[in-house]
Amino acid sequence: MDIELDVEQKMIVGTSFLEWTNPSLNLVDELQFHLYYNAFKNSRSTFMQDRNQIGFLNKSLEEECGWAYSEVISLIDSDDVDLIPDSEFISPDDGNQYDQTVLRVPLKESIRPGETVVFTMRWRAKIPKAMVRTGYNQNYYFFAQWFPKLGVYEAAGMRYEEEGQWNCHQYHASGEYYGEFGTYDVSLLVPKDYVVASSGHLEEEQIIGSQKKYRFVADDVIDFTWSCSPDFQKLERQWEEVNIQLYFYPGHEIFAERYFTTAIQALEYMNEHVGSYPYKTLTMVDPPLHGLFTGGMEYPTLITSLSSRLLPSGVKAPETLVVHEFIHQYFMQMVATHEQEEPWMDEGLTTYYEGRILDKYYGEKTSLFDSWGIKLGNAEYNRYEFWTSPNPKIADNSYKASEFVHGGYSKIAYNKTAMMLKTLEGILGREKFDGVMKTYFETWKFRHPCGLDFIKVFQESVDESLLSKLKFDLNLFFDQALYGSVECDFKIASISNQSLQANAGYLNTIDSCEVLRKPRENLIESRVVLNRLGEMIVPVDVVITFKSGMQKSFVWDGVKRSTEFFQVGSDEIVKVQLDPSRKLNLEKNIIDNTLMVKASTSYRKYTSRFKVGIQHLLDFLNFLS
Amino acid sequence: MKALHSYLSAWKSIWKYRYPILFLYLANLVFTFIVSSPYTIYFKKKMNTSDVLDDIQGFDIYMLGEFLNNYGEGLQPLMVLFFIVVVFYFLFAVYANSAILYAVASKNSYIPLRSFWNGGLNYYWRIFRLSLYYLLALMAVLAGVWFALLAIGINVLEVFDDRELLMKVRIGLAVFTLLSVIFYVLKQYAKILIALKNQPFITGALLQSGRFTFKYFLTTLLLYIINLLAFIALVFLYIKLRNLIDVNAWVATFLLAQVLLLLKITCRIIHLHSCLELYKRLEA
Repeated sequence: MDIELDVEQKMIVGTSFLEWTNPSLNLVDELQFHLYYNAFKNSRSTFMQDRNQIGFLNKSLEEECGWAYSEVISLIDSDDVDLIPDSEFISPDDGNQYDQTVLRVPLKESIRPGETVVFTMRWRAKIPKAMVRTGYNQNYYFFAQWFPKLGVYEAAGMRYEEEGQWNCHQYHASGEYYGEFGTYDVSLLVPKDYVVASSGHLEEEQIIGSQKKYRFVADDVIDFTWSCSPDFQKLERQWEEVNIQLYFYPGHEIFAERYFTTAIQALEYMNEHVGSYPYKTLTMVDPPLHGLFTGGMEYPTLITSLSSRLLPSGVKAPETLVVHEFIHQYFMQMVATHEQEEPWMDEGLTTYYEGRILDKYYGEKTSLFDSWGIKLGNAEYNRYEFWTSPNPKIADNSYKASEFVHGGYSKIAYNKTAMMLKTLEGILGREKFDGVMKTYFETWKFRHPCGLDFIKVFQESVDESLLSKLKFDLNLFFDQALYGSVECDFKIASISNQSLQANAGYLNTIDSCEVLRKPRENLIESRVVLNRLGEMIVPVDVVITFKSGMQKSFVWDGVKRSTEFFQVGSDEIVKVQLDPSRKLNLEKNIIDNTLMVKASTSYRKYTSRFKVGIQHLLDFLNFLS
Repeated sequence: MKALHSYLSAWKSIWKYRYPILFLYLANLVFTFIVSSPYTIYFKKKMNTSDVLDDIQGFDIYMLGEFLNNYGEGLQPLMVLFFIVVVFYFLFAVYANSAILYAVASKNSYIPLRSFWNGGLNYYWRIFRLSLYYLLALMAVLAGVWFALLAIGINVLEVFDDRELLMKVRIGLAVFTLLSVIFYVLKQYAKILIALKNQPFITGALLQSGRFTFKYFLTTLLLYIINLLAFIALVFLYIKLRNLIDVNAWVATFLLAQVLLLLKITCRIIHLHSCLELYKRLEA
């Protein structure tokens, strides 16, 4: 692509030289392009119709013309024929006739299976002001989903397809993208004083009059993104073969060490536990405050984060975002799942690894927040976020991103999936789990798997004998936890320790009645009743502790609604724990997973502090009078 | 120097307030137990047979989150009780402050509880109105500062960076703090005037208070700062001591907090008394 940025008119003009190979056994007689910027063309686009979370950006639209558009001027095929006159906008998702985010271009001649064709596209786009994920504000520009981008042609047998067809969704407010792998060779012409951060690696840069031309190349990527500003500063760090670059505004060099440290931690961890990062560069953009609408996003070899002096250093915002967005290099960039149709496959897996990485390097209890005496771990907060959602059962992971119309998108796709994976890891063991995930990554990198492909890797990698030993039904688990909305909730209903009564009545013969009712010496009848309150059936570890310190443990398969442990002996049960090592991250209530005969007094430190807080609150009222 | 002398003089009279201080403390304790007991009993009932709170030494916010997730709905009806008691306590606080005003203005060297409470009746409605005016003034200042900040631009999309935003917010906070302090000082001297001159109307007391405060602005401000520094030192000392105590030693931390509360009540009385002393010295 040859691109020129006009900062005065807020326009980009481009020429794309598109080379595409038909991957299917079908004849392909049309092309479909995403024109994402048309989502911001007017208030009638599907994106604007279902937006409801971007109110703070409305000022740009209502008070100034911050609207945008994308226009394909011409698309010339190899016979020098312009195909645009026959093109039309289509709305495959909702039939919204005003939505212009998908352009269908009929071809004059069908493309044969395996045939490679070349097109030349001339296009232009007006850049949106302060719009979601992309656009400009002041001198800061961020270009994501900015060029007319070819959809993914899915051959028969790929994902859920029974026959080859284009997969090119409209732009929705909820959910992200899906792209085909390719090589991007992009020349960017920008004002001379502008510094450019981009996907891929820089091949050359040269000054041409008052402008500067950058040429970037990115191989085996599903998208291409860039950003520029005259205020950008740049720092670099090398990790093995990867050149890590950080672009930031003046004053934010204080966050550089945090950025680089976290990026290297994430690279090391993912290389060790999932697979190697194959690219030569990793570019991090720390947007200025007025560009925060672009923060916290992932693009091939380029990620954006957010940092702020307003937050104490104990708030691990840059670390969390860098780790999260970096993991997306694996799940959605290299393993290029469909973010619109199956958002859990990238967001859920990413959230899961985010918790693992941050908990490892920043502590399980402090990896999210460690300030003002308050400590909270990343994975802990993930659980909290899910269970505090208004309706944790509102949907399941069979929903497309745009189908979460009444909420639950992030809670289900991000949080619940991460909890599901943590539970799976707990049940299978981390070593086994990591082995399966490595297989999944190696099998599907640079391809487009669907949810069933993910499950299939587990089915093929975990043998029956292990599942039988664990009393674990893998298929049922995915049905319940991934594609179901049932809750996992176990409880210890009761513990009883009673002296064993001697047998009484007509025991051996009706001629003699045994009336002795004294307890038998030193014999105690101990009983524990366990309940499954939720619908989810998973095996759960049970540990019973006796007064002597002895412990007995077993695995309850969780199939029946209740079960019991019963013993006659000289020892009393003092404590029962369900899932003591917290394998079942999906468990709703971990408080009632322990029952002790002797009450704990640990609650007093909380209640006394609460009382003191109330005292001072009441005393503060005196200040007002 | 007059400010410092006034402050020291107030401390010399502290013994006079021993019963009111003790009574105000006990009243706070009673209200606290009324408000907090339903919560603490509920919390105990749900948590004391589980070991989840034993997992870590300090406070486990995560487990509080788990508690709220699973049992939080049970707390909602208790919130109603909480707000009722807070409103009632505010009315009581107005009464208590009226009584403190009476005690401070009284020339007696000993304030029995009976006269302390009877004295409160003298000023109740005037202090009540003064409290409302003060609250309204604070809200007006807050709104004024907020709109001023909006006018100079605190929209995150309009500022250049977080340094600019931080600077503007700091300026806003400084202005809010300064104006709040001035209104607080005005309130203190308005109380003194209500007591000394038996002002029937709040507006009159406030006007005279304003004239006095701005006439002796530096001295009155200095006295406020002395009182504030003493209070800050007290809180600082409390935090230092509390950090020395193991978080599980809840009895010790609770007792230390009671000492702080007693001293806070004392400081409040000292503040008003020192204002009275200063007023007398300056207007003498």
